Amino acid sequence: MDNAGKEREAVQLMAEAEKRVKASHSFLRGLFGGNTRIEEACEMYNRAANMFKMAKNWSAAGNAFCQAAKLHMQLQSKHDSATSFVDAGNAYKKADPQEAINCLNAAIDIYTDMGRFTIAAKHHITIAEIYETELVDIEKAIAHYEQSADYYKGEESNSSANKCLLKVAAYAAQLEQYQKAIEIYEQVGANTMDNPLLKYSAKDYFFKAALCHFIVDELNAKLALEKYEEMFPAFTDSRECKLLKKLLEAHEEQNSEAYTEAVKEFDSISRLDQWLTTMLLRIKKSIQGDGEGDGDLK
Amino acid sequence: MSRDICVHTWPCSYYLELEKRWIPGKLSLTSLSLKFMTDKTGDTLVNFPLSSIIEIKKEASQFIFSSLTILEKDHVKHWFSSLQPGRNVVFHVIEHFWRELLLSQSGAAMDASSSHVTKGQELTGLMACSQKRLEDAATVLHHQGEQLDSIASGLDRIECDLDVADRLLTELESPSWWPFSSKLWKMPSDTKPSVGSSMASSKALGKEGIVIRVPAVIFQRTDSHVKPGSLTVLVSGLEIHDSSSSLIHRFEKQDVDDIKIHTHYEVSIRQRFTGKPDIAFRLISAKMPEVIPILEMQFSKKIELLEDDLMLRSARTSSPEEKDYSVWHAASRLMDCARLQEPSGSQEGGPLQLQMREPLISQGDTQELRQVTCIRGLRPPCR
Repeated sequence: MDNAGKEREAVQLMAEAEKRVKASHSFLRGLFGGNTRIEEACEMYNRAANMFKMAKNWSAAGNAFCQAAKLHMQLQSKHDSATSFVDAGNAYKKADPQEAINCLNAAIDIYTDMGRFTIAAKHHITIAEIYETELVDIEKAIAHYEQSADYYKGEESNSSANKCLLKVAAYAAQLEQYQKAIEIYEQVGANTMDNPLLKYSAKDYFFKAALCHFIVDELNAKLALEKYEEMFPAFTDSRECKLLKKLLEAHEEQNSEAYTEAVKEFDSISRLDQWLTTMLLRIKKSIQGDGEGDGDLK
Repeated sequence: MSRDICVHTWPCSYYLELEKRWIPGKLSLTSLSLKFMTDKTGDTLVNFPLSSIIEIKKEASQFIFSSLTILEKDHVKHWFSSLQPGRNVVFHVIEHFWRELLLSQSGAAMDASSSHVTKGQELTGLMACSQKRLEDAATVLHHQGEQLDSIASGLDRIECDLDVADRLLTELESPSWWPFSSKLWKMPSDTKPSVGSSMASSKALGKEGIVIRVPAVIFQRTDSHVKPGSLTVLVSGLEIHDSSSSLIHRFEKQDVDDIKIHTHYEVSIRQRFTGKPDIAFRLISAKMPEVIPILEMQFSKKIELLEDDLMLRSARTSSPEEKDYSVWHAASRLMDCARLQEPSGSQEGGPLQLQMREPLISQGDTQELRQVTCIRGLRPPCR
């Protein structure tokens, strides 16, 4: 009831704002304070957008913010324009993901133009998340995560960059682009192992890198494991390393019982997450490749 | 074949991507695969082995309806909604069977190992869990530390911009005909030394507080005006002379708005004006590496390092003792000059206007410099 009223009011405001913009285009108005007219129109679009928001009409709210952003651009206030585009993106996110991405991209263009790369990177992450959850286009999500990691690196905020890179690596591994995943994990691991705060998670990255090696080729995994142990001695003592050794042994003997036993033991202490489960399953499949298991799984 | 027995079926609805609608039906799980059959026609719309699952998630469609999404190997996402009796139940059952694919053993060894968990195992589990949490906490802590750092540098930049804005505002606020405006106060100090200081600066190094003087090539405004000359860093500002050592321009310390360091050997100095073109000089000198640390001491906030300077930084940090030395050197020089300046200022009858208004280096500054030199001095010169 109340919402319908708000919506009507918002539509009225939009119409009014449009009138003002048109008026500012006429010759005489253009001479006398055309800009103030446009400013007023901006204000109105913003108010309309907020009312649409209250009425939960997300795409209309997004549209209103978009208009406001374009007017801000006309007025040369880049910063306001970018903020409005971000608002529009947030509103669209709930109704029309593709449009949300367009708006955020426009905002990113403005921010990169102004040299505000940290904020641009943040919005790249938002876009990547939309691709990840709403549109399920993992390739594009990866591209945006990579872009954002690049920007963060340029601004020396390495921990944010690493966060993005790890996402990229996880998806790359799921898409079976193991080489890429390995490179990222090794790089992040090498970066973090010297940091007093971060060295505790380095073993995790090496473990994941080794697992990716394992899926590609067993011998590579062995070599990689040796390399990691040399690079980062603390890795030898970790449960992850011991598990890897057991798995390698089991794989060599083509013993799926031993393999399962080792995984199970590891799982009983700390539960495997979904990524690890997927990867370990892929390795297990390669053991059973010539056995009867293959037929069953298909 | 006994393994293919249906474990459970749940009534639910499935989302058809192409037609954009939900279809009611039944989701059935066997120990190795997942199937969906429609109620009406009995077609099997979905059928895939559990081993091809990448991810199982609880999500909400339209932000209201709880649903379950399963990501298949080729990144096909399946949406199941209005699950009976409840989403969580189905989620746990499917996840259990999926994990069991990895963990289950076909032999008899199964019951022996899984049935009882020893206390030691339990404790290790607890330990591993808390270790994991601590690792995560450390990562987050590091991340926040980085954010705080960037906030601090952002604040610094804001403060610096405010300084400039403040100066420009005071200039704007005072009407141009008002004889006591800050603009006019500055004018004489700008012009006066141009006559006097060419002699004064050549006369005594100590009196004017010259910290360093280097020969340089000068570009004024556009690149077409190239002249040889010299740059002099004074305690009170910067002076640029041409080859016959007559003054081209003098920057007072507070008038310099920004100094850009392009490379080791190239800097540009700028004073901004509203309504007038900026006064800007670009200087290239072989001895610039000696000057840059001094400039950094004097104009710390106004210095802007351009991209190439990352190289410069890394080059400098690669030889830390050298850097220590140069900073120490610069600081001690500045201090000496300041000390010389104080007595000379009181002795001379008609000191410069600028000196009247404020001491060249405040007490606080000297204190700070002294501390720096002390710290540097305490350290052995080469580590």
